Amino acid sequence: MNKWKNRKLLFLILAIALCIVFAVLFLYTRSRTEAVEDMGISTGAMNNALAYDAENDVSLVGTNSDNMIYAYKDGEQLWADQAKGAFSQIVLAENKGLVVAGNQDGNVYIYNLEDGTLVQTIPVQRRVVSVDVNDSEDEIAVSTLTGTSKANLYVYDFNGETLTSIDSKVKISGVSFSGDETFVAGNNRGEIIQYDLEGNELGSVSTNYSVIQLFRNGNEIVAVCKDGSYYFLDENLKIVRKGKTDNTLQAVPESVGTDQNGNYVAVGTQEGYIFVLDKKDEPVYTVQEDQSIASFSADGSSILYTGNGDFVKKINTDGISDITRNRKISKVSFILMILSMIAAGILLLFLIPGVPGKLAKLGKEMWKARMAYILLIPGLLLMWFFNYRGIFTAFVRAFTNWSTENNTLAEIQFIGLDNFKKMFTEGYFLTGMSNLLLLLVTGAVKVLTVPLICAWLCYSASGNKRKYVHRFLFVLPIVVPGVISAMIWLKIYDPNIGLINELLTKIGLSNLTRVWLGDADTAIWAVIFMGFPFVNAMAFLVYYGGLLGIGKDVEESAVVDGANRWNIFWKIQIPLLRPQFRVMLTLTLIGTMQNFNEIYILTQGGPGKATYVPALELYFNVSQFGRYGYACALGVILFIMTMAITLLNLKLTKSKDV
Amino acid sequence: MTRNRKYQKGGHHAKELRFQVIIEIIMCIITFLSFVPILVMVITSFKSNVEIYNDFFALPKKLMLSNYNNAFKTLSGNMLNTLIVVAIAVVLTLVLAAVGGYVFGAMDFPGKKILFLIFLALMMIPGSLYLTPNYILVQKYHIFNTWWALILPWISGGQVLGIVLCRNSIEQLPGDLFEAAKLEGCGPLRCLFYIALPLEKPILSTVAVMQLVTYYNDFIWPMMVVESNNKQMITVAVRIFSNAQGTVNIGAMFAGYVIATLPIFILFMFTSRMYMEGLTAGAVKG
Repeated sequence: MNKWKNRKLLFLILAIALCIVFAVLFLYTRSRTEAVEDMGISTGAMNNALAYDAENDVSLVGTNSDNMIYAYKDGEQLWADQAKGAFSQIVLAENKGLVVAGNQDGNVYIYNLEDGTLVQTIPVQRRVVSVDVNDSEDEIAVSTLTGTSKANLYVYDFNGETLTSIDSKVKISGVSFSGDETFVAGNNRGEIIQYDLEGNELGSVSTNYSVIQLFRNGNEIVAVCKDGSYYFLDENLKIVRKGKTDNTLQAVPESVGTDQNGNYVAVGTQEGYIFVLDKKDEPVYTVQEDQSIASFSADGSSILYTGNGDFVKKINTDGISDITRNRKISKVSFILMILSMIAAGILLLFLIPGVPGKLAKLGKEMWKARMAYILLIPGLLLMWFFNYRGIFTAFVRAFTNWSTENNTLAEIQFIGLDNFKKMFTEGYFLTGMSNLLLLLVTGAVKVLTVPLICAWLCYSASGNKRKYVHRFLFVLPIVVPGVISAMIWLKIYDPNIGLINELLTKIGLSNLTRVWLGDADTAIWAVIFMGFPFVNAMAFLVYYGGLLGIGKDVEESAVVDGANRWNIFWKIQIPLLRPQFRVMLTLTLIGTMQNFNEIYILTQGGPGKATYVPALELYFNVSQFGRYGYACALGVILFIMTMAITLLNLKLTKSKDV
Repeated sequence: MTRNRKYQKGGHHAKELRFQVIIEIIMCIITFLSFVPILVMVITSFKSNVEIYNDFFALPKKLMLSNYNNAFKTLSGNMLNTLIVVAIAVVLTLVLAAVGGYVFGAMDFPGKKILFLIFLALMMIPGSLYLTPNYILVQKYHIFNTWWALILPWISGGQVLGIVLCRNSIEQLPGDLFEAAKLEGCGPLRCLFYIALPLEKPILSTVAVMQLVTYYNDFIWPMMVVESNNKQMITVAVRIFSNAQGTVNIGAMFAGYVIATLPIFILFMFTSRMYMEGLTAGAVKG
């Protein structure tokens, strides 16, 4: 006995030890799942351009919203200057200690890197898109844009003398030197063209999509295209490397960057994603920012980036490929940590006197019935992933601003009852509810009348064969799928060739013809009238079954008492069919609240919002407006209404049983 | 049970006959009216556009089979998709239903009640509640725009009624049937395959027909999670086809409707008893 207890204690210690091990592993790997580091630079504005001088550790940031250029060192502002337009690109002439900054106000400003004195202003008189400095640091290449498609290329020396000037009819997105005497420009026809200083075209490379951004990294020119493909070109315009980001997100590329050695490529997108690919062009890492990524720079093995927001960050590419691995390890070790915690908890319970007996019994029973659990696992897993998980999410997110724009955990914010308030202010919901009420009332009437009449007629018909044939024919129309039926009715209501208008014309009532579904006054009634004469097959069968269940005996004894069919119907059959009525009523009401297939096909809620119902509004908010939080809130409301009816039905059933 | 006992009272005969004639007429009128959309669909599908615009009510002078040719060319792929996907989903639903029904009907284990409630509760929760999260989740699971995005949620919801029905049918069996089998040394898996499954067959076929129709008729979910036309289900494809025809080729449009209706029609013809049982099964359990 004692030996057993000791063994238990040993297991407990082992479990706790394992728990600690996995906890440490989890914390260790989790801290190594981020390669992004904030540079601690805040401009207080929207950034647009970035350059980094590794030698002096100075970061230069140009802004978009207040037209400033800032220089930072160790997170402290070194100097700043303001121009009249947004800075589009900043490059460095490191040996000269100068900063060359292209600005959209039509000037290229040259600053002293150390103190920010304005050394030279080159008036280009056109919106500067891109600038570059050659390796011997005596020439500046500039590309400009006038209007939307007129572009120019210039080469200046550092005194502002124009050396080259080229006109282009195609929008140029970037310019860069490919040697001391040659430079290249990428345009939105997807060409990268090389020129000499006389302005002669030396050669060109064609990509399939517009060039979005182009810059020089050492001797290589890096360009990114609209489809997410990128190219590395040498000074002779030979493609030395190319690849494509895996663009399942269909994000729109906006910028491109590399580390100094050109090992990793980072493609920034308008949506704020940065895709980092390694030398084999395999995606190794993805960053997501809130704003469009505008500009990259390199610092050794790190890639710096900024975008249209107040942030400058750094992706450390050292060990970046381990990150995916670390993420996996951290996930697994987290699960193992929890498991060993549970094991430790159970073992702890076993050490409490009295508990082991009961637990052992339960455990024994569970172990004996293990096959039952194993068999249920697939069904339960499916339900968790495709039902319950969604249900929990819906309840929580109904109180948040979840939408296509706010789709990450960081962006989703708790907003209290705002979604529910919105229902009452936007108007669609209120119209929808009044329509729904009408549909519920008419739906109830429909399901309680025609199918009952049909069931009674069929039941009263003599001869089993005849009964069978009529039952068959009453049910047969159900083979037409609901949406197909709605599409046929759409044509029946058609103002030009529709059955209803044709019929009215034929019998001389052409003044009554109208655009049934297009008229706000008739549309909802047209929706209600769809399915005439409303022989609901399910209700028919349920009532028919109910009538059969009552049986001929009751009827016959009533006949003996002198009752006629009419009396039997009202006094005996209708009261005895009450359970069937209740079931059909419940199912119809719940079904009507959830269903919007027919309305979607007939009117899409129109004209205006005349035929909206809450379920349709929910659908549109998910699939077209992307307002998920609001859609969840609508789902919650529909859930509450459904639940009310279900519970009412349950209560009525219970009270009847007693 | 209906018993055929002859009425002995005389003079009722004429009255009864009149009554039967009247209800026959009423039933025929109602039946005709409920068949109007189907008649419109079938007749129009054989007419040319000119005929449709000239006289809506006239029967087609010549059967425009080209309408069907036209519709079939576009829709055959989608029809095949639908048949494949629905078949897979139905088979999987049956497996889940048979197994779940057996476990809850014939086995005893701690937590049985709670687990059964977890399944049962799903019946009371409307799909619109989790429509939004599921739309995002299928993207997160990377099954968006694949058939799995249809099959998995379908069977997840579809298994519930199947399990309940199978459980009921197994519980109706004599309780010591499985006990006896157990004593004979029959393990749970063998019990499932050799005893439960054959006995569940009738109810499983009802479940199969019921779910087949449900899956086949689904429209909104395929429209949301399947984007590629060549993977699309027939209901959505017909609507796309229908919209594409506009007012130019109304006959082909209706031929498309007929094509989309045919599989269920054929199913109904062969399995009308199970079909009707399936229709009421949902109501009776409530």
